[in-house]
Amino acid sequence: MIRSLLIANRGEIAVRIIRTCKDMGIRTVAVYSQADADSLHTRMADQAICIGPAASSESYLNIRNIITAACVSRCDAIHPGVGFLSENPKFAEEVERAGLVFVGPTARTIRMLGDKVRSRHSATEAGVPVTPGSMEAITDAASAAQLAQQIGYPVILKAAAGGGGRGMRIVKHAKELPNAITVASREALAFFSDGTIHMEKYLLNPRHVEIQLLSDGKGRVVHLGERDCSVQKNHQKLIEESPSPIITELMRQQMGADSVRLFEHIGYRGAGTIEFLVEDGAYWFMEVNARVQVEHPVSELVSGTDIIRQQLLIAGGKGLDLPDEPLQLRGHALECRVNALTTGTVAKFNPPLGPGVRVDTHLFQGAKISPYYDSMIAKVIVHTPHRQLSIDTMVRALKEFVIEGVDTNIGSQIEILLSKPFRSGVFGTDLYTRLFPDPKKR
Amino acid sequence: MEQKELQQFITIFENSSLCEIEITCEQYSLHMKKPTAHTVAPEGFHPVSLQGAPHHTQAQPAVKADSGTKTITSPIVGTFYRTPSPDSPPYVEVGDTVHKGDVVCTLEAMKLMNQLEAEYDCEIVAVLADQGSLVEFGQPLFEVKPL
Repeated sequence: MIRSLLIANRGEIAVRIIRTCKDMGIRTVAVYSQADADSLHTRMADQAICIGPAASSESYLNIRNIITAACVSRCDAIHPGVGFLSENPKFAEEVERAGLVFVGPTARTIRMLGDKVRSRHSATEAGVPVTPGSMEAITDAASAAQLAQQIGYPVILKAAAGGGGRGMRIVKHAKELPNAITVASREALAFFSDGTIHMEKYLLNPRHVEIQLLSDGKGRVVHLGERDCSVQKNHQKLIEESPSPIITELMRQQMGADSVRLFEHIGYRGAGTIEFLVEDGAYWFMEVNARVQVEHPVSELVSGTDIIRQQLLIAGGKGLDLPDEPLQLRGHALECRVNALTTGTVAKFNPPLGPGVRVDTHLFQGAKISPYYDSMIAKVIVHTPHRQLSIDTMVRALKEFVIEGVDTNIGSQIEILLSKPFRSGVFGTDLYTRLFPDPKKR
Repeated sequence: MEQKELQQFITIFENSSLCEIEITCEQYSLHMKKPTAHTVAPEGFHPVSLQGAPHHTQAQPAVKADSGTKTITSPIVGTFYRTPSPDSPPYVEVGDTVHKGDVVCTLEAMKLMNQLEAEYDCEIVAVLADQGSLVEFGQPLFEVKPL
């Protein structure tokens, strides 16, 4: 059982985790950089420890200071949140070596899933469809050209150690390939200290759909349905919803069963997400996010489950707190990410309230938005009986949201919600660029 | 000067350890100064009650303008020890003179004993952390008078 938890993160997600800990009677220890001394997570936690200067490489990524803080403040577990050290196998290893519980999968699982070539192998072994492409790392241009010819252009070169939209290169014609391999490999080496790349078929305008899973690490795997995250800008998600408007009940069951089988196959422990690309009624495995995700509230609302609580129960050895019968998913949930477009002090802050609205945020009047960290400042999530109602409620909520002192993307989010393609439910990952063709205007 | 540019300057200044800054170029000149006392608590909407606020200490500025003394702050998170071993005398006492490179304390982090050395010649004016206590990054450990 976890009695004291250190949260190795900041911002909205740290606040989110602290809230569940309070519900569960778990003592919380926050860590913060000097730039975050006055931020909400340091105020809400039972104890707060400064771990470094503003630069995250020296604070939120400082493994030694974080683990020392946990040991000295007598915590028995560390929750890594999202981003930062959440998918760093070395961190997971060090946490356990220090005698603490890491709230997440084992270091071995994280390392395996972080390698795109190895995770594609695991998916294939479990009988989950993967996009056509190389099953091994690309070593020479000649065999790569042959493979590209076989699967058909365009193809995408990906860093094996990459993720989050980084270290990728799209190749449209055969003549670009040799050059692209050299550049992609060099980029992969620079970004991820590993020059290994592999090749996949590039889907022009797919949907991005993912399955949320919970696994006790002892053989029980449960999925909480899908999330559709197709509204993206530069591979960064903007709007997420569950259920997806384009997934049929049959496809949902197949994707769910495939996902459960993959997690059983690799012996996954904790909360995790399997991302798929969907096009023309078919789906392909893309990658596993071995952590809780930013958009997890969407699944929490339709499944009636607190995912952070389940994570803590699994990590504490208590297993899942879910009924034995298949989970009933209710209604429709929609999330909009609110991003700051400028930095500064929040002069006025009135978040939306009312029926069906949840807001996860670390802002308050007087909060500072510094240039050092992620620009996401709030998530507005609505839960209603069906999609059209969710969209209407979301538009109302976003119009109600008052944030003064910094510019935000609330205006463009409302435009997306009101647009015909979004309302129809039929669109691809290119929706943002279709709606806002001139990048300078946004 | 654009308002956004100005906002950026202010943010950078606010997050720096500087107390005062003056920038002059052809188009403009800018002078910013931080208040000496800590700014007042923000008013208005708070998602949580701030009652029973946590005990977090904040790193103090490295230079105390009034007395000519400086503070040596902790470069890591760790446990603060004034002695090399439980039954040894402290590395330094108030009133001692230490030279650059002399060890002033041990900071234990992940079972490693990190010895903190003085960066300049100085006299120990006060010991600011308790033996065996948790020290944060940037927490003042000693008040010293540079020699």
